[in-house]
Amino acid sequence: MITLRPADERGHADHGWLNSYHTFSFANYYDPKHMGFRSLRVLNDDRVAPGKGFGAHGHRDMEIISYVMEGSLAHKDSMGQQEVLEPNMVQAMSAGTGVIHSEFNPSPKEPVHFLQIWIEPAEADIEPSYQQFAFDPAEKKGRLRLMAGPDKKTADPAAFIHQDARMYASVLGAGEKLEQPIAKGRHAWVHCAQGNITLNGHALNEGDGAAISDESSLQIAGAGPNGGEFLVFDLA
Amino acid sequence: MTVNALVVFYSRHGETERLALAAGVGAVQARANIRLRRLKDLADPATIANDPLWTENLERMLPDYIAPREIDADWADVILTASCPASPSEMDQYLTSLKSGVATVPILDDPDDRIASARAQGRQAVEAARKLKS
Repeated sequence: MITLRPADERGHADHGWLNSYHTFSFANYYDPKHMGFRSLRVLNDDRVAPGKGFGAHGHRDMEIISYVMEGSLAHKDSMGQQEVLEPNMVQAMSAGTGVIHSEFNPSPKEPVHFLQIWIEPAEADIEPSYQQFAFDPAEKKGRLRLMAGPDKKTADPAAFIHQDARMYASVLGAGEKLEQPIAKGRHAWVHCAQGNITLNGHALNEGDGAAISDESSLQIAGAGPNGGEFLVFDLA
Repeated sequence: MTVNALVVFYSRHGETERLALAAGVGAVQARANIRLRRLKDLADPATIANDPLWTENLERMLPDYIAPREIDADWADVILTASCPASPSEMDQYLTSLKSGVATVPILDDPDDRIASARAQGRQAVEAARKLKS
């Protein structure tokens, strides 16, 4: 079963400095029908104006992943981390017992476009931690590139998260295809980050999502004119 | 029951900010919703400009923290305060301006273990506020 989540039906908040689309309920957008999917709780498509950002605020018991599409994001937190995130980099923070952080667009000119993802951890009260890694964009072309998961050892660098969930990113050119089997009893979420793709015959454009349950595989293809970039979540 | 904790501090060189952050983390550990606010400098711009460390930290802190607003105090079940030892007047002025009867808890700087102590104080203040609320 594939349930589409069209981009234009998402929650939307335009604060001027922040233009955010919420696939699931977040902040002032509350829809009890869209509270998340399995352990995937938040998927925000955020654009932050130059020099602006999220001031210092707190989180508890959440795995928070940032995936930058364009621009850069400066991160500071109560663990003493101070980093700048750019495209082809992934940041993952385990809030656990509690962290305070801020995220800013350090550029005086360019906006930053990034996806903010929250996954509920399998257990509460874990020690807070921060991870960041860069990858070669060629690694996500034509295949699913693991970005975050519960595996202590991975072939390519990926963020460790405290949940039986994996996040992959991929870029497919127009007409390029990939197939990913889904283990029995597992679920998936696909989010089209930019461009156009098809998922098991359904067209997904920028911002569209889909919940997948009781299917044996994902068949994804890049659609015209330039294909697309997307995230796949493998969920328990 | 969810407790709203407002952390208000005044810091010039970042030391009191660290204390406030630790108290804020303690409040989050105790499952509070938190807001962090830095009081505006009362000093004139020339004085600040003559202190490079102050200038540098101010540039860093300004985007991270807005100044407390009246609605923040209205929202709060408890206000944790961290005052700058070199200049207590910013905090004194803020406390005097508070209209609501919300409880304020000063975070004390324990020189032996400032961070762990401030975290514990943040947790305890939230737990006390939760008891009062229920």
